[in-house]
Amino acid sequence: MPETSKLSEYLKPENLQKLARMEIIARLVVEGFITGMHKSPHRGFSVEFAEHRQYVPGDEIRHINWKAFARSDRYYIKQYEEETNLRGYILLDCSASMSYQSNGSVSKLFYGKCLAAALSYLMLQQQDSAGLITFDSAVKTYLPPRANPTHLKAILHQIDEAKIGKETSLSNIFHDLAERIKKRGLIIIISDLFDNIKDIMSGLTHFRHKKHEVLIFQVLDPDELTFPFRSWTMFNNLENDGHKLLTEPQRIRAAYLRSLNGFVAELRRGCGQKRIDFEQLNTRVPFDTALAAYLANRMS
Amino acid sequence: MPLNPSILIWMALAGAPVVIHLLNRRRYRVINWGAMQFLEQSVAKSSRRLLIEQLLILMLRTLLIAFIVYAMARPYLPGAMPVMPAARPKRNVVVLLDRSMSMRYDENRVANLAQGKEAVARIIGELQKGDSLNIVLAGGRPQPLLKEPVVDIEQFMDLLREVEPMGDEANMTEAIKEALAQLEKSYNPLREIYIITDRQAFGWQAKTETRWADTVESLERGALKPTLHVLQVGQAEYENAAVTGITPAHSSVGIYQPARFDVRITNFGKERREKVNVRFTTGDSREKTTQVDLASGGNSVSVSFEHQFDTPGSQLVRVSIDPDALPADDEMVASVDVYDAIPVLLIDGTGSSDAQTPGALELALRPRDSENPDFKSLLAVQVCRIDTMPSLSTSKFHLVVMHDVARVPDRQVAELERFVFSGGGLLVMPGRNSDPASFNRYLYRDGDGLLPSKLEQVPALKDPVRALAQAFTHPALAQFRDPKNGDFTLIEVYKYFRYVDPRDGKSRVLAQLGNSDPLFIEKTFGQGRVILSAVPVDKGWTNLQKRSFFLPLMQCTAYYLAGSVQPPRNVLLGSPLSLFLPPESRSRTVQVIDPEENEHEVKVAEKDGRRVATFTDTQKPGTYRMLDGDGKQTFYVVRPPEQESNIKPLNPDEIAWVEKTLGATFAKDWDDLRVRAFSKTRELREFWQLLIIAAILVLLLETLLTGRFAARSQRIEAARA
Repeated sequence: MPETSKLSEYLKPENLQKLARMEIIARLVVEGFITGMHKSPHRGFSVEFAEHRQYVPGDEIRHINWKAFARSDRYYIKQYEEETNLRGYILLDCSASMSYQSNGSVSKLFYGKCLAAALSYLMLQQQDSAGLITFDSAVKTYLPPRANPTHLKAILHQIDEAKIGKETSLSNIFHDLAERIKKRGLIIIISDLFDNIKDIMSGLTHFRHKKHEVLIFQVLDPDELTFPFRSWTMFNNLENDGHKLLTEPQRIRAAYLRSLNGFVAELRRGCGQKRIDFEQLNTRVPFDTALAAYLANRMS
Repeated sequence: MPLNPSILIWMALAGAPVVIHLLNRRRYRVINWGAMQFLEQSVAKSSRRLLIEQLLILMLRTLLIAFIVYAMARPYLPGAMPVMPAARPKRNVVVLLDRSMSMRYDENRVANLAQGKEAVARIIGELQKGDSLNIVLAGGRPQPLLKEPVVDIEQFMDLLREVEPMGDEANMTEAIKEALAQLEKSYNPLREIYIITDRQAFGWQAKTETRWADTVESLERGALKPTLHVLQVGQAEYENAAVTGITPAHSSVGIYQPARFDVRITNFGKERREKVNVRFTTGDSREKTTQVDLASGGNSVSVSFEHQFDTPGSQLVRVSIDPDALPADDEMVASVDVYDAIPVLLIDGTGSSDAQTPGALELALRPRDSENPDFKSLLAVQVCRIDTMPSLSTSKFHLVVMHDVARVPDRQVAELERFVFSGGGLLVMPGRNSDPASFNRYLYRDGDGLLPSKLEQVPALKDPVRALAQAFTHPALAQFRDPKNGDFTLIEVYKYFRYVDPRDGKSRVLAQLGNSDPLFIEKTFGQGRVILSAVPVDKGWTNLQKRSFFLPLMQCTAYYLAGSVQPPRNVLLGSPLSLFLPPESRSRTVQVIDPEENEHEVKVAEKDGRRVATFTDTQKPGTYRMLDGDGKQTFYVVRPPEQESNIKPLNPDEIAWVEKTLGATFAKDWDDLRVRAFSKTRELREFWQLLIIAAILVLLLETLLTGRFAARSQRIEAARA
């Protein structure tokens, strides 16, 4: 399968970085993902046909089933179970910590943007409605979900426009959004989740309380996962100018990894308890993992 | 203080781990980091542990270097250590054997040096296997018998037999410095210096702090301060008389002329000596003898001998007294250059109309004996005018006399300066024709020129000024110390040039007028000398030429000034010998024969426009001969300092000073020394082996801990994976 392997090579985050337009990225990611699955997602859960009913004046003419009319000489209208059965809210974290980028990989924000684009594309392809919310310490943009395929353009435009902002305050954002989003839907959070774990969990619980499904993509850089630094290093806080820390990284590596892993484990456990899907991604991992996680959630 | 303290300078390396740590801290990279919350937690949690780990590792590394460096410096502890096996500490011995001239003293038919050798042999007999030894011979330039100390001490017995006394002083400061240098070459820990000497005070120069400062500093700087033992050989009281000087009355000696030599005899002993025979001989004459009585306590007696040389050239004059216990200084030899003629150039500026005055000066320099037509003056005078002055060189003229010259043109000034600089003599007598401004400008040159002083003409005096009678010490005038030879107060001056003694160290006033203005003033210029007279030979200025001593005064002055043409022939030990070769000589080398008849070859070099051969290896006293290519022989006499004849030993005060300053102990005799130095052994243990073991342990611990600290990180990583 040389073509597929070529395609999957092309779909690596660092290669996608070279593409300028989000739309192409999104399409490539999704199509590449689907090609890899060898199975059309449209067949299983796309347009759920329910029944035909008699045409009554007022119905849209475009919904008349002309084939049925040819067969029976009667006007029937195709009836769907629901025009769109999912309202997807993609929450993209644009805080300063998302700008971190190690050698050979893309920034967490870029990765998150691609992921958001791909998910929006996928959702809209499936006739689901997709919305986009970008935030740092406050909500920056809010695009309510729509199922109209033209909505993709608006979403991608917003994704393109998203810039690195200030520090994160996840808990406030989550509480705020939980109150703002009235209709039940799927909340997809793309963030590094660098915040107080209790606050995060409290925000997530609020979403669950409002009957939202929640899917978390924690995007981390390989450096953040392995802490590979050796010589003396001055760490400047991306989210707080002037906050610096000079240390010998190899000496605190163990403690750092312990602290990070503890945080992730607690997050995972908390999510598990609240029936929140949690997926950790590193910026070198192709988007398949994320999309597969989304589809798994969608099918459940 | 360890045995090898110079190594301790490397102790600075122990700070290297800390410096590297600090440098690494300074050379950090900067990363803009998002996951600060985990980092802060980690640092907060592990900062204390990290600090302890870092300190521990740094301490171990510092300790490792410190242990190694300190071990290399070879530390020791006095006394035995329970953990180290007891072993007899090895001696590092240097014996300083005085072989100065005074060690030739042999009152009891056993010379001091022989006694000294015996003492050295006894010390060697006390040494044991593994002890290192070297012998340094003190006397002149100190000389170790072997390049460095050796443990095979038997070989010294043969070398010792061949040691001969030197003619020089002991020079203990230098000798002890050499002994310390020898101690540094052996690694044996017990450092000991044994000084075998007659304790002659002159060789020690006790209480002269400045002379000892260097040696004391070397002594203190040494790793383990050595113990110094002084053993006296010979007796405490000495009787010695010596010939301490032969001085010719004139610097230049001519043939067929009575030449006087002043001989000084000194009695350094405590007993008066009467009717001591003094013998005077030269190569070409019979012995002349006289008797003197010598008062004790360093008093000198002068006797004069007169001799007429028949042959020109380099001659030796020998004076001896009745031999005593130290025969080396009972005879003194002096080398004298005997001339058949001393070429003099008289540049006379006096007008030819006044024929009398120049004649007076010329006659004074070149007297004629009307009764003896064969009489030949030693000074061969050539007269000229300044504008017809021939080219000057010390091989053509020994002396130039400028009398009443109006002014000296540029070319002649340069020629004169070159002549005097290379050793020629110059007598300047400005007179009525002389232009002071020209003299000051070209010959004085603000002190850089030939003249010792500026000229300032004094108008004719109403009352004549008389010269002062003084106790003249200058060789040119020494003869007139006795007014019988010439009373200077008879010199009347009516007009003169006033000179101011510039007191620049180069000038010296030889004789004064009654008003304190100088009559004669001298300056050294290069190798040569210039004498400036306040008056010319002119009856309008002075009556000098009418005085009976005018002729001897001119002759003495001329001999004196002409004497600097040749380099000194009688020098102190260690001073170089120089021979000027005539320009026409083609010799490229000169042969030198030292007092032991060894031949040396010296290359002829160009120096200050002259051909010079210089021989520097004059460590042995005695007569040296230099033979140029034409077979002409020149004698040189190398003498020890005359104080070496004074064998007065150190007094109790001086001994106490030496003991205190050097930390030395003076042994009464051999038995005393043996008890002090050899009967009890100093306990001393080195422990560098322990330090090396400690360093290895520290290294292992450091490796272990570094590994452990690293492994902890790896374990966590592995657990995560």
